[in-house]
Formats: sequence, C-alpha cells, structure tokens
Amino acid sequence: MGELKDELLPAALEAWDYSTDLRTTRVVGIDLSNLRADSGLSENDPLRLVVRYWPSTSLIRSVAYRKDLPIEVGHTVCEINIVAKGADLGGTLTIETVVELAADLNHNEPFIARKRGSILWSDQTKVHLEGGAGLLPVAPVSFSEAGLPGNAAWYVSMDGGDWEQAAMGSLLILLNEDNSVVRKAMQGSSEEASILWATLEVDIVADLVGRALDDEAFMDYPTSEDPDGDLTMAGLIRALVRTYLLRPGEAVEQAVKRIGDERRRDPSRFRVSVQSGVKFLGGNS
Amino acid sequence: MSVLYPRLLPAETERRFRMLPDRAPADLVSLSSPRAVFAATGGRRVSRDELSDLRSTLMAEAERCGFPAPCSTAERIDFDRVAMRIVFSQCHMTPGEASNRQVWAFIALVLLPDVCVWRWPIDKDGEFPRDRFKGTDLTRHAFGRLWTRAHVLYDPLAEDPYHLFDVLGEEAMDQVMSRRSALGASPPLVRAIVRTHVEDTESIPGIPARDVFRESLTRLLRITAFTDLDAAEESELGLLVRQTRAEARASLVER
Repeated sequence: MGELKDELLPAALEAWDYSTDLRTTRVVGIDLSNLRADSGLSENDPLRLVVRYWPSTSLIRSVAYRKDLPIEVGHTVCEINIVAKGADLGGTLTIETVVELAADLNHNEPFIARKRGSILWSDQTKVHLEGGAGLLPVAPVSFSEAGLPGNAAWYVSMDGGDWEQAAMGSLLILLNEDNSVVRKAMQGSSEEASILWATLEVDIVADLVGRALDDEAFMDYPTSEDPDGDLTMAGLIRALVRTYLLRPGEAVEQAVKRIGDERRRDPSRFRVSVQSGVKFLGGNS
Repeated sequence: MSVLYPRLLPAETERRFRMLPDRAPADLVSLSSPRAVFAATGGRRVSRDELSDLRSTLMAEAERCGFPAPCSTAERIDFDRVAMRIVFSQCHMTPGEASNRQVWAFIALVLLPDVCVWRWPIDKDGEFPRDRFKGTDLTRHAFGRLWTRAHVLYDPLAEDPYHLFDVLGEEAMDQVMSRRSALGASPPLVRAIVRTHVEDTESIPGIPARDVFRESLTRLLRITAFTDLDAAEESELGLLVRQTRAEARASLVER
C-alpha cells in the first residue's frame, strides 16, 4: 500500500444520536504495480476498493463505497467520501477500507488469490459513538415514583459486572426530579448548581472506582493496549484512576492495588483521596 | 422520525425476572415502568397508545395460537411467524434502538410478560430461560430475535418484502443467525441463502436438504474468512450460494 492520508477520526464523538449521519473522508494512494506484484497478480487482474462499516451493537455491515481500480496503471489516488446512516449505528463504529479482487480469476496457483472478493489489504478504524456526551449518561427521574429514596439527589446506576461493555451504554446517572435543588440545578447554572455537580462528580468517581475495586472480575480484566481509546467500563475506571488518583511515577495497575488496600483499611480516606483528585470545590486554589 | 422505546434499568430487569416464578404474569403487565428511561435524543418517544396497540396486536395473535393454554410446537412456530411481522412493521425502531437489550427487556418483562411466559415457559431445568426475557443475547430474545431476523430478511425490492420471512424453520434460521458476525450481519447474504434454499429443488435420496443447508453454511463460513462478500451484488451472492450448495451436496454424496 502506498502513502495514506486520512482524516483522523477521534476515538469518540462528542455528540451523536440516531438522527446524526456520519460523514468522513479519506484519501488513499495505492501503488498498484507493487500491490499486484506482491500479491502474485498480473497487471490486468481486476481490483476494487471498498469501504464497509458496522456498529458493535447490531454488527450489521453496510457498504459505503465501492470503486473498480484502474488496470495497467502503476499508481492511483482515490478520494473516498462516505456517509454512514445514523439510524443504523450505535456503540462503537468500525470502518474498514479493503482492496480486493473484483472478479474470479481462472488459475490454480497456490497462495495466490483467485476468488472474487478475496481481501488483499485492509485497514480498520474505530470510533466510539456513545462515549462522551453519548446516548444517555444522565436522566431526570421522579425518585418517589421510581421506588428510590425520595429525598435523595441522584443515583449512579451501572449495568454491573460486564467491564467490556461500552461505558456510556452501561452507565446512567439518575437525577431526582422531586428534589427542588436538583430540579433547579438542571434548569440553569448557578453557584448552588456548581457545588451540586462537583459533589456529583466526587460521588461518581468514588462509586465507580469503588465498585470496580470490589469486583475480582475487574481486577482480572486485561489493560487495553490503547488506554485513550478504550471506552469500555474497564477503560473508564482506569481512566478515572489515571486522571484523578494516580501518584507521580505510579502505573495505573499499581494505583488500583494501592487504592484498593487504602479503601479496605479506611473507606473515608479513599473518599478524601477522590475529593482531592477531582479538586472538589476548587481544591486548594 | 425513529421511535424510542423505554429501556428497563438493569437492576429492575433482574428484579422483574426473579419475580416471574412467584407472580401471575398478568399482574406484571404495564404500559410503563418508573424504572425505565428513554434515550435522551435520537427520535420521538413511543406513546402509551402505541405500546397499548402493540400489546393488543401481539396478544390477539397469542390468543389465536392458544394463549393462555400451553402451546404446542406448531402453535409456537405459528405465533413467531406472525409476531415477527408485527414486531418489525409496528415498532418503527431503528437498528440502533433495536440493538439495545434494555429495550427488549422492557417489552418482555413489562409490556408482554404474560405472552413471553406463555411462549417461553419454564424449561426442563425448572427455570424461565433468561436470555429469552432479559435480552442478554439479542439473537435469542423472545422478541428481539424476531426483529433482528425480520431486519435481515426484509426484501425491499420484492413485490412482497416479507416473502422470505416464513421460508426457514426455527432451527435453520438459528444456524444462520448464530453465525452472526460472519453470515447474519449481512442482510443481502442472508437473503441469498434463504432464497437459494427455496429455489434449490434438487433432491438426492439419502441426502436430506437440511444436511446440504448445514454443509453449505460451513463452506460459506470458510469463504468469509478471507473474502469480502458485502461488496457483491445480490445476483453475485445468489450465484456463490448456489455454487456452494452444489459443492456441499457433492461432498455429502462422496462421504
């Protein structure tokens, strides 16, 4: 494959829902002579460039781009513009660019592709659609009607145990509409609202990290090779630890062990560490 | 505009599922749950009237198939056949919404627990089959699997877009959908597999059609490991599936 120039997709989109179609562009340069030579093909063998995509939720694949590549040409550049229908998407979107055989070839050479659609080269990129401000991190609910303690302010609801799930699909913060202070804070910014949200931040970090520390399945869950792009529940917990609770020179796994020990000895001290980590109410500034 | 459905919170899903053995399912029926939430954006929320209509339509079909008396295998197949059309055509869900397991947990455990219990009664282990109620695997959920099958079988170019819905039996369709990422994730390929199964009238004594079907799926699965079938036209896929069936039949004759 020749040089590639692509519009870099972020690991996660800031805002997305079903009514948002995704448009992306990629410029692909292909050294056709070398590609054919490396694949054992002749200059006339037909190739095509295809882009397909699928969401992690339904796994249903769609083809967004298909172009026959020129024959007897050494090098070509294709500008690919694709649109993925928002209604078909969810979770994490995988976009795959493929160079493949465009027709069946009539030969019996071993180790040389001959079936139409045989993949000669492919490249995948992924984007989390339901990360960040995704589908539903927060929902206002009447706690009295929902059977939750009526005087509370919020509830951090987590689909427990599956650390591989997309974080924003598993996590939901319920805000109590019955609570007048919470209700007012939801309607606009004020100093009271800022304090409330800062307290919620401490609660979320303490709750989620605490739940992870209590679950052996999390402790056994392998660390991602791409921690910045890992928006699974496990990835979110490690990101929280990395952002708020890590000491200088400490690895995340070391911090998880240290915090777990600290929490077992003194749960209040753990909560204080979280307050300090998130710079609760501005920290010492 | 797509329609959003209530998503039953995981803790409530578990609580309601645990209640099933001890409560009359009819007592659990409701059009809403305070422990269900909607996606914040992405469509309009389904109305109570629409949920009521969906319940009424599916209940009428269940009654036609013998509800509340225990159902026979034939009645179960009949109900699924009709329910697949109803769920797909009446829900107006986007694939994104339909792939949310909490949506299906709401439909099975809040909107239609009585029908779900009738269709998927306590199994031989003495328990309700959890994946049929909770949506842990959408290819197995009582209603989610019907929507998913309908979505891949719907033939937009055919005079009757539903004509492929009733072709394969439960077991055969399950064989396709359980190979979800390789076969079931490509609607044109699934349609080609089903269409070709109908059209292939060749019969060899001692070689049952279901063996040819199963062997051809195995062979298609091998092909998908190194080829992209998504970019192929439906006519090309039809040709490929016919060739694969012929090879499968020939290999079964040789055995």
